[in-house]
Amino acid sequence: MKKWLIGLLATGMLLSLTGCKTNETKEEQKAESITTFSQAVTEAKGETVTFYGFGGDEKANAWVDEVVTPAMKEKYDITVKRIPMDIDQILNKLTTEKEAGAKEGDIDVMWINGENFYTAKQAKLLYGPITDKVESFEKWMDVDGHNSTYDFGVKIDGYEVPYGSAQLVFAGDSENFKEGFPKSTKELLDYAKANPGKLTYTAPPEFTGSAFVRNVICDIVGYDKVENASSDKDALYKVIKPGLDYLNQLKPYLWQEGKTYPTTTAELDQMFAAGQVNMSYSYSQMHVAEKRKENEFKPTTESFLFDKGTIANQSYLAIAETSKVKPAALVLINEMTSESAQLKKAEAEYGYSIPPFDSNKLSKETNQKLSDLYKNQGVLSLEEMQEKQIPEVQAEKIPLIETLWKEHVLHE
Amino acid sequence: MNRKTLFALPFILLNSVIIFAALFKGLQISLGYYPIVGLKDFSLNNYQQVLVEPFFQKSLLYSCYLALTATFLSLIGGVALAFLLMKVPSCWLHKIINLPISLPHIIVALMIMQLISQSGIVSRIFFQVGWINGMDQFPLLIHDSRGFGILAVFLYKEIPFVAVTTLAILQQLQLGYIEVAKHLGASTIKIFFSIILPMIQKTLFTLFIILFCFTFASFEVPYLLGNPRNQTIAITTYELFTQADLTTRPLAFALNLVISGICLTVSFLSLAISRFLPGGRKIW
Amino acid sequence: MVKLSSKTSYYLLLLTAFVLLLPMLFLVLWSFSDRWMYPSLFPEKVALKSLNQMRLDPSFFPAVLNSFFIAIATTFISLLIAMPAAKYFSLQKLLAPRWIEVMIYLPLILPAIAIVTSTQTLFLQVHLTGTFFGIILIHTYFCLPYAMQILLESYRQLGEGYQLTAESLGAKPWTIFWSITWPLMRPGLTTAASLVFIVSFSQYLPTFFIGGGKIITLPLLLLPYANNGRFGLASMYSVVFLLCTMLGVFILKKAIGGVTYGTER
Repeated sequence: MKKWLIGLLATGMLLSLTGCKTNETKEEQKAESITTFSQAVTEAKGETVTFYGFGGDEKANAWVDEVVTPAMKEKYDITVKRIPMDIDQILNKLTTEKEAGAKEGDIDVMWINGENFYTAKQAKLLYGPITDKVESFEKWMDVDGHNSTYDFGVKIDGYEVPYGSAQLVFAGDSENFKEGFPKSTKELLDYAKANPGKLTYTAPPEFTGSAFVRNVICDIVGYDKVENASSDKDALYKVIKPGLDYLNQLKPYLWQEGKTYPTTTAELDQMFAAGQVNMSYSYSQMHVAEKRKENEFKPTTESFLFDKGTIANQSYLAIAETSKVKPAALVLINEMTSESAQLKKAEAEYGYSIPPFDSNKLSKETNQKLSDLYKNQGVLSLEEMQEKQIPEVQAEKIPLIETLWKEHVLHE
Repeated sequence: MNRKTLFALPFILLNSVIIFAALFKGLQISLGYYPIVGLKDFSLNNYQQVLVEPFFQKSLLYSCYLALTATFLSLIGGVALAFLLMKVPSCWLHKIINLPISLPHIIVALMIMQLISQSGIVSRIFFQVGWINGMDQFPLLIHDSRGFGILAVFLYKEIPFVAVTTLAILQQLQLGYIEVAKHLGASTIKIFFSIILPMIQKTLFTLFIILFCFTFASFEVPYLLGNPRNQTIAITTYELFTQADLTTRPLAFALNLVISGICLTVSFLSLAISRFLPGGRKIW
Repeated sequence: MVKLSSKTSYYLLLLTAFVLLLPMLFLVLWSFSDRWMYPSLFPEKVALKSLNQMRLDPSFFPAVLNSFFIAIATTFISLLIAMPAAKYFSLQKLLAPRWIEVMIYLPLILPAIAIVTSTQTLFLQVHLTGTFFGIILIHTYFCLPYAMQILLESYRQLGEGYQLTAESLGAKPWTIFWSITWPLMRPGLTTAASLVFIVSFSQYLPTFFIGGGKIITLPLLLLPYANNGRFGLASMYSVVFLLCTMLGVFILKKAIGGVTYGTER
């Protein structure tokens, strides 16, 4: 019996130690030699390509299934498979595959941004640069703009293509804000004092809640100070302390006196819709319009921002280093960021999504169509949104801020 | 090694390979060897850091509290339900009792949230009946510090599970013993403690181990329904795992191994206790 | 036992069943609701919105089929592995029963996420990721404890007596199995099979990591919607999920059979 056990132990250990030897495949050589988009199109004909991205938004899913997939088949004879997967798990999969020494994987195109791009680039999980090989980038986007060169403060170097934009937007029922919406953290505090128990936010590290906390900090301390602070926990604490103090001041006037918080934005939305709290928020600029259309928010719900601005960012598309069909992946990204596909995405049916385009490069009709989007009920104008924007804080500072919030606000 | 041992071989093989591979990798990374991010030294730093962190002890205790409460209540409720099931042979009721077992925990969590949150169904009933005037008057049953909602989810799933498992065992027991005892004049309580309990005691301890470990390491339910102030240990691990900065992975693995260690210790303790109780040494 | 008349027991059970059923009924209501705000007790608008969205998802039907296939296969293989192993462990005298129990429950004791991520690396190296076989293997790993626990007790109850008697009367092993072991083990096997099926059907983490997105099952579709608060859609998927597990258990019970409810002595 003992011999067996030792044998098994050894087998298990051996298997976990040995990596897989794979030779450079023909595919790899192909990928290296792609220099133009048209070349990619020729090489990709007849292939199947996968798209991995967040699966909880049924409208975005429908857009991929009903608009992008047929277009890809028709135009390029490429089959698209959409796989719902959170970005954490996409990265985990890629990391694990890399650790195991696999040269090829299942993921081709992925929907990515922010802190996750930082991780992916750090671990060399992405194939690139690709922006020079994707036509839409040159055609429609602001090639030198902030969003095309930096992602959450990390240099992009052409490894991802802008896909959509997001901005933190607050939602409130105008009936509950007879004196106007709060345009700054100070006004928010006053409102909270006048209406105790009617405000709350989702606890970090929940994604949007974390953005809310960062936004409050930037509103009080100023974005530049936060950006220039070093990434050391204690130094950062000194810089953002006024923001954390504010949140502590706000605490007693929150729902449940700040002793507990909702944990998902879905829950916050539900509490808002039920009238339990008077304010909600979302990273999607069209959130209020969407919810009003679905009869989940009252028709008197409107969006509002802080005068000093709210956090805005972009999401991107990237290609995995281990992709087996890189040419097809390039074509897919091109199609997903094409004018035709993106205009469809901007429709109500597919979520009122805002394309990542530079208005200077678009035709008059397209520009008109897009600005009409903003004429939707409950949404702010494009100018106002763009005016009141602040960039994202650098990716490596975000977990630090979340921990500091936990230590100094949650457990105070 | 005779032919008979071959019977057990596939079982041992499958489990061993998977567990050893996992253990090995976990040890490897948690001790500091993580080439993909460039860490190549072996040290006990990660473990030290993890055990010293102030939140660790808090979340450890909270996880224990949740696991123990949920498991004890489930066992008591489940055994009671098993007896009910034995007495009432209705096919349909048995089928209904079986249903919660098939539901994934996350669905149950959502269901419970829709039921007992302040804007939930029960609150609406109270409102319609006039017991409360607004949803804020309904007691806070989720996101509360006692974990009421979390416990509700586990009880909902585990009481039927315990009941069904215990029932299967009860059905195969020779209940003739009970008839004999009754004839000899034993009181109900004595029958329960001297005859029934020893017979099912082993199963109960086994269930205790399974349920405790599962609840202890559970992530999604506390995440959805818990109070951010009271984190469970699994949430802490998850947060370490999903940090953008991959250098926190070793910490997460260290925490994983600590959790495994705790579960194993609890299991051994329970088995030891069970051994000393009546019925613990018999093989049926 | 406790002094409860049959009638009281019946009503108590009925009440319990009702309490358990209630949330599920609301689940069904949520699947078909369009607008349902506080403080209404019932949906204000009823619609087939969620049903349609679910049907139109191209991965929906393949996911259901995959889940079924994997669950049935896992059940089959789990029973195949568990039966001889349980029989061996129930009769052997070498290891103390407690050690056996620890061995059996290890998959449930060790945190799933740690095991699954490491197994992913292992499977990657032997090219098992993204294959049905790989997924079935990892499901079996997680389901075996349940099967083993039940079958072990069953074999212990069975004892060796019948088998030895038959052997001494000259019966062949196969005959012994079919005529003696199988009929007596059927209740235990049915319970074990049903439990394994359900556990396999609801697995998320293993399928997710080992399947790598190539093979989609029902929980994989359901969880993103559930996590993101699309409650109508998640409820719809849950209802389908429940129906499938009920169907699966029904099929298994018919195939293996032999369960009696209550005591009929």
